Amino acid sequence: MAQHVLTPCEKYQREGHEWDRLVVKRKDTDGVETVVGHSQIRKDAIAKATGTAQYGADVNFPGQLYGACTRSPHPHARILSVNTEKARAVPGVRVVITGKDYPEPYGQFIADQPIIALDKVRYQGETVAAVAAETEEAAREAASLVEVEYELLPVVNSIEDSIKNETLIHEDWSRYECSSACFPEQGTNIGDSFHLNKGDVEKGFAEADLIVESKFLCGQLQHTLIETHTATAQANPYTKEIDVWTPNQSPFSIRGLIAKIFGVPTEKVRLIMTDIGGGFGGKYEAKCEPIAVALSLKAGGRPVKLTYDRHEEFEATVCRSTVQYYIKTGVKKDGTLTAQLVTGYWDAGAYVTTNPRVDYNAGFAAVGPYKVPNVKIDTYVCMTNRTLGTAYRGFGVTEAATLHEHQMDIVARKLHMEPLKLRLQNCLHDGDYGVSGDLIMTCAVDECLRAAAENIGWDKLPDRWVDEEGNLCGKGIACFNKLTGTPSTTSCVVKMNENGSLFIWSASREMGQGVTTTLPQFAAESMHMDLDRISVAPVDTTVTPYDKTTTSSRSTFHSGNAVLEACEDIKKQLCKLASIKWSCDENDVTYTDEGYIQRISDAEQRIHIHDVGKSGIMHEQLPVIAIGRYGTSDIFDPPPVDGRQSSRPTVMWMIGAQAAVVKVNPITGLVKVTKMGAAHDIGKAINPTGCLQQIEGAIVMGIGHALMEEMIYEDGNLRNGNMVDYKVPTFMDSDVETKITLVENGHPEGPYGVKGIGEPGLVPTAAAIANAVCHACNTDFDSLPIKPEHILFRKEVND
Amino acid sequence: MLPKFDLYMPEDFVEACALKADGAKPVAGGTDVFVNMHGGKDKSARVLDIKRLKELQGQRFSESGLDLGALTTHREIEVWDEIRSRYYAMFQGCSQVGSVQIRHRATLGGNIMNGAPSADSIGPLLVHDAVVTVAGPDGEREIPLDKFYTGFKKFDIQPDELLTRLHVPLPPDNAGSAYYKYMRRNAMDLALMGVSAYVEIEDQHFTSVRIALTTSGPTPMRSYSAEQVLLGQPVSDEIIVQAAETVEREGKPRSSWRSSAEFRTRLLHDITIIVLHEAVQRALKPVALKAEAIPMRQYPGLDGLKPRPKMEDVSCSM
Amino acid sequence: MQYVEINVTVNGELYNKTVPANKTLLRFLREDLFLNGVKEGCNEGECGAFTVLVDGEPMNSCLVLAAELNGREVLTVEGLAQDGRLHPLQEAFIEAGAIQCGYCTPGMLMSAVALLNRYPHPTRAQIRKEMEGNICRCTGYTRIADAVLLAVEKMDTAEKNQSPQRNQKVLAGTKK
Repeated sequence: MAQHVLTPCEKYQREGHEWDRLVVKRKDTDGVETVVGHSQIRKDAIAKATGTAQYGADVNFPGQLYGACTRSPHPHARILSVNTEKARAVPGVRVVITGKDYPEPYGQFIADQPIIALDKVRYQGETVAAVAAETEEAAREAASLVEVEYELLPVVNSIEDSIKNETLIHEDWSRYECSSACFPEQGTNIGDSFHLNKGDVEKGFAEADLIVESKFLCGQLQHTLIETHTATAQANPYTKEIDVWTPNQSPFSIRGLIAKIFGVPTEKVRLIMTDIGGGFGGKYEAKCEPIAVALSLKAGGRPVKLTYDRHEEFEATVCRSTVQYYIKTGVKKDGTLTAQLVTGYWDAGAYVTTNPRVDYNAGFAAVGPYKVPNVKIDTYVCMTNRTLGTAYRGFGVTEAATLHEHQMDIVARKLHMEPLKLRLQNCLHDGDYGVSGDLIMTCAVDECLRAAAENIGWDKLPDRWVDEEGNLCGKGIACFNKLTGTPSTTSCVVKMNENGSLFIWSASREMGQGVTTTLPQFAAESMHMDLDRISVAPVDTTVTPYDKTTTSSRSTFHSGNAVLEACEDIKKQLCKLASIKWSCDENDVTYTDEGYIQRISDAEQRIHIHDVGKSGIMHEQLPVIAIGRYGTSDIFDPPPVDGRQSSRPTVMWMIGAQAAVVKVNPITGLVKVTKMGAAHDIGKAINPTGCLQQIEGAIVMGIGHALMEEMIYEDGNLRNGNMVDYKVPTFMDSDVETKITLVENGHPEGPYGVKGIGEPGLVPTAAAIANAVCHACNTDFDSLPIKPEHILFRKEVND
Repeated sequence: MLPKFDLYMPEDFVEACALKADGAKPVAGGTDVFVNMHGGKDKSARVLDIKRLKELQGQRFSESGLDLGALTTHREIEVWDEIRSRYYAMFQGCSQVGSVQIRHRATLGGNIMNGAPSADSIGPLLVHDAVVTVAGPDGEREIPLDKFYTGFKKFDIQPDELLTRLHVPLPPDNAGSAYYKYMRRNAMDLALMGVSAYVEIEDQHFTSVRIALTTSGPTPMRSYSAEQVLLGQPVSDEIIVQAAETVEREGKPRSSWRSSAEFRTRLLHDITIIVLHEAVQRALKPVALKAEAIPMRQYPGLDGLKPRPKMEDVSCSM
Repeated sequence: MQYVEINVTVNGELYNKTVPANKTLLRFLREDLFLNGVKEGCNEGECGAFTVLVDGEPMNSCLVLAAELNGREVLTVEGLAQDGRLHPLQEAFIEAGAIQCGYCTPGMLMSAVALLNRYPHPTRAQIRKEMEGNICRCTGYTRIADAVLLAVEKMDTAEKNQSPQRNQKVLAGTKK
């Protein structure tokens, strides 16, 4: 194909019309690399720009059936009967299933969720029956004809309702198989809890000159992925071989769940991954997959395609849980923090799903990247009759950051301290000990705070002012620390093709974050090879080696390490092959930094990696193929349930800060975010444009979280489950001057020093904006999103 | 997924009227009807595509004003120079409906007949004194737009009649209009509340005034008593505030999960002031400059707002 | 179920097809012509992933009936590249980093083609307004605007050099 040569265009990010978008501050990375650290054209871009990328719903098979679900209109009800007679009578219908067909419950932390509701429904939109038919029309028509008799139960609408325990969503937790990382409380609506204790908070409060108490609520959000959930399954009812084509973030965990639900050996389940039209945690759970499998099994193995529409996406997939936090902080007159007490309640929806992990990650982040000697954190996962909460780009840490950064501003105000100064005075540095008593190896909070502030011109701005049009303006800043899921393991296979090109088999899923470009960059850098000659193979659990999941901003760090290990082996194998060709001792051959397989005793005798294919050294020799593995079990110190003190709860901490300038129209209450300054300690920018993409996109997403987005319920009924009434930011809301600093404070265990940047870009955004709006309006808004109504009817503070 | 239906695409007007009388659902751009059908809210078994009816097509600007076929799209209004210089409120209303894609399909006739209280084109049409033509097999009738609405999603139209055309009179050179659409995000949103105003100014006096409210009652509606407050009066901040207070009393916004009535009512008052000021400013401009946007600013008249933010608390050191 | 016969030109090819009356243009393109670049995101005209050009203008293919398209001309993302050569907008989206998960990209590209037909040298404000109907969750939009500006530069250079790229742009949007 006669293509133009495509080259990364950094013109606009470096000489943008309004603003230079990128500043890289190098610290301890040396910058001699030729591929890593340089912006690259994404490997997936051409397919995506030409409409040829294959997403979930683009998969079709001859003879496929179409699935559809019958959904509960009630948030909480006992199922008295399900009559499928009329549905079965619709022409073209092949299968109708109900909860009784596959009653095995599932769940990653606790198996509390049937794939189709059995005895009762626990949220509006829960599946009560599913249909497979020759056409989607017939399937949807039949699904609408399934008759369900319900006995309505009291609806648990809120955290307050939930903790009263008058109505239980799950009557008996002990019936469910539960992992060691989930702590439901029998006879209550508490599905999990998290408790962290460091030092003695009472002593800390006694030492304080000032005690500040506040609360904060982060509303319920939906990922609003443009690609809705979908899966196509072909499941052989006789051999029990199950194939599923799906845009999922976590192929191996879904494989395990499906094997368990259907009682088949793991190896019989094959997950084939399509491109993902947006993940952000929303495609981490099993949603369409098990239902499509169940339908295919009952349909004699015909492929079944099940795709949710937008209403189902809102109501019946997953969301980010509401959280209500209470915080109490002790501080000395000079601004030194002495103690922090955090209590939190997650409105986790009807099933536990991934909430224990959200609870855990947020718990470790709930005091922020600060030195606080005495800490107590108690948080609870509360079950309600709402849409299921799950991971959402940050696993709860975004909400935690909003809490502690709101509190830091209140503390600063009460102490008459400059908010940035208070943060700098208390923040962690390299070598400090964190909230679990762990040594933080690299931690550029100080530098990130200063850089983020500088990026909006912090020092030249007052806390609040009025512009010439009469708008109330303010600035705000926020920082955070986030762990990554530890322990976790990954593996990859790197295979040299006969022409000397490389394939990487890795299950780290491309979902827009760029991992199918960064992994080849590692290989290219290591091998000194052209990036064009290295690609990541499609993901298929029957051939792709194990990777835990594509979440928690872990892929570049973990899979990068695995790829580097494999590349070292590839180099050794190539040296061996060259020694055979040259009839010399294999120790006489080395792989040079310039990519030559070279004889030590005769430097003239050498083959460049680009010439390996035609050199003939691989001809009829053992194929060049290597395994790379990486795991963090060895360095992990399991934080005990009692207090969560651990010398190493995470392999790395992700660090960053953002600052915002807003203007608030006092007549309309509408907020415009005018400037965002970001600075993230990313360890090492592997693909700098990729890092910026993550942060730029997260900032606009965070504007939505701060000011627009919320799922609104009335008596358990979702009112705004569509893309008009659930308001994600549009192109017209994106006009924000953005300046980003990538701080390269390399991690000793990260490949080339890298940490992670998938989630972090979002973590401080809403917090910084909320703080700026609070300053502009001279108010403590204690919930997100901050809406014009809150602004117009605000009560100003006067302390 | 659209339900099954039979589709009629007649070119003959009388045939179309008969189909409508017989219960077929008229569809023009489909941006409301097909959305409802996809969502299962509309299960019409017969769909009447009216886009081939020449009686509803075409649009023309002349000395007598605008003659708009009911099929005129919002996009056609948005990109039409005469609309911007003579009917600015219509430009503001139509250019903020949905997205470019929707505006290419969505028609003025459809926006009227959908009957949403939040319809963005209606307030501006009301203040520009639009007259609709409805026609049936027995001939046609002309009805002022504000009389055409008889209730929530109810119209003065017979089952065998179709809305065919709109006439919008030519405003004099001393006229100006404005529409403010209140939305939570800057695109792809519904009007949480909206105010339209049209004024003619002579010798610093209001000689003609029309005000219309969007999402403030069961239909887009005129605020006649607020108009009376201004009519014949000299232009002043005080009288504009008085008009806004009247609007606030006349508007009947509801509380819903979208926002409280209290909030909407407060907005009505404040936005009325902003819109009237903008319309006045535009009226005072020569025709050649009326097409220019007037940035929203904090007008002096807004001192009458309540409760005011405490500006004295705010340091002005910038 | 009623069926309608249509003659419709899609990406320069004339198709004679019989379609159910209730079939949307989106489903027609995906299911009958196997043009999977157009995406179903919401079926309400609110996501933008459905965007295709009909007679040069961007439309929500989920709210247009295939049966309406007799005699009309449709352009989808698959029709942008010519003779194996990417459209300048496609190149620019790739080079400026305007693509992440890529699901919105085909619709964005089609809106961008329509934008450049109307405003060959758009301002950033015009880009935002004309592309307001396309939602993107990954990029934050800024790089998409960058890409449009980069494409304009490419087209201007190509025009200066009398390259055939310029013709592509005309073809992409001529209103009949």
